[in-house]
Amino acid sequence: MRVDIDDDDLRRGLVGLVVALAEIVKETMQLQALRRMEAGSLTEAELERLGQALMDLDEAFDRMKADLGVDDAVRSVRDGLDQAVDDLVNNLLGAESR
Amino acid sequence: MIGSMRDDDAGPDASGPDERALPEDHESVEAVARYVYGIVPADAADAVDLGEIGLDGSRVHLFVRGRVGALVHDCSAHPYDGGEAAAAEWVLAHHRVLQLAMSRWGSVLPMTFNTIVAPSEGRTADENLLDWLQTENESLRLRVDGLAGKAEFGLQVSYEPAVILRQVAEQNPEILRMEEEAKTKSAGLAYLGRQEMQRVLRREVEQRVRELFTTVYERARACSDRVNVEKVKHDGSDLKMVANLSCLVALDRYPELEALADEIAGHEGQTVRLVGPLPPYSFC
Repeated sequence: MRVDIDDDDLRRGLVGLVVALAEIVKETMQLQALRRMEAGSLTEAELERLGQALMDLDEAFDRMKADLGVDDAVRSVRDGLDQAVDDLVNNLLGAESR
Repeated sequence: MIGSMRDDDAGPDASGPDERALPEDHESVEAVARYVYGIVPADAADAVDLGEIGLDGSRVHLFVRGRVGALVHDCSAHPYDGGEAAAAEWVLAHHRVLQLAMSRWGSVLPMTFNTIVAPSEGRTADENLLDWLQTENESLRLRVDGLAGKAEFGLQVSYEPAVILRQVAEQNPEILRMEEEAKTKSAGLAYLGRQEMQRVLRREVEQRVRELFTTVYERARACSDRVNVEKVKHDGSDLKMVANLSCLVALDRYPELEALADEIAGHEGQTVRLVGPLPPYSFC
């Protein structure tokens, strides 16, 4: 079977995948920051710096996605992952009810 | 669900997928096989011709053995395969035959679309079908009787995330407090505050949606014989489906399911789709 691959689509898909994974890492860092904030283990000045750094990271991600034109590709990877989790949960629920 | 009964999808005389893709071949070529719509309760004398109501207007008749009958039409041994539009027509015709069977016999055990009994090893399709009906007679009758007076209903509940978010934000004092606090903080702290607020919001919305699912499922189960949890679907709209249930309901209890649907739909941000009565596709 012959598969036609457009170079640009391939690049966008690949970059989209990388950015989506980096975004998930960023969100994990955000979650860790919030946990530390709740635990009270950081001073107000440290929290301010952490918050500022994460905010800058958010902006950098937004800019990068816009510059590379991979907004849709990233969303598609994220939706795909969400769907995979949904399917797993659905299958578990379905199996329980039968 | 009982699947296809054909021994060999390719069939002894099938030379390739191109030949099988011709839907008009079905009745005209060689009607050696029997397309089975479903099983109904029947007495030996109950041999019925239902007329040309089947797929592509084929003549549907009841093939009786013992205490059950199979609703069939004569066809070729090739499965129906002819593109999306044709498939939709066939599935609809299949469904209509089963609806008619439900109203006529009060119960039907549906077969999947494209259930075809073909000849095999020197035996005709009729012999194969009769054998199967004979062997499974009691169990088929039990299953058909178990579905008597019942029908399947599809209950789909969705919500509008924006509305639920707003309701949660308005009703939760913790979120209101966090929102106020964020306004007085420096940029970095305000950012973390907003992230925390979003996390609490998400958690509250998830909780609300979980409760909605549990309520719908338990209330549906209370008025149904059986409930299957189906996969939720995303139709690309702003709505998010939270529950997609197939319910096997005794017809005299249908008003309870309808009342539940009305009650759910009465809440702002929630929509309901109730479909039925349908042949019990999910419960056979």
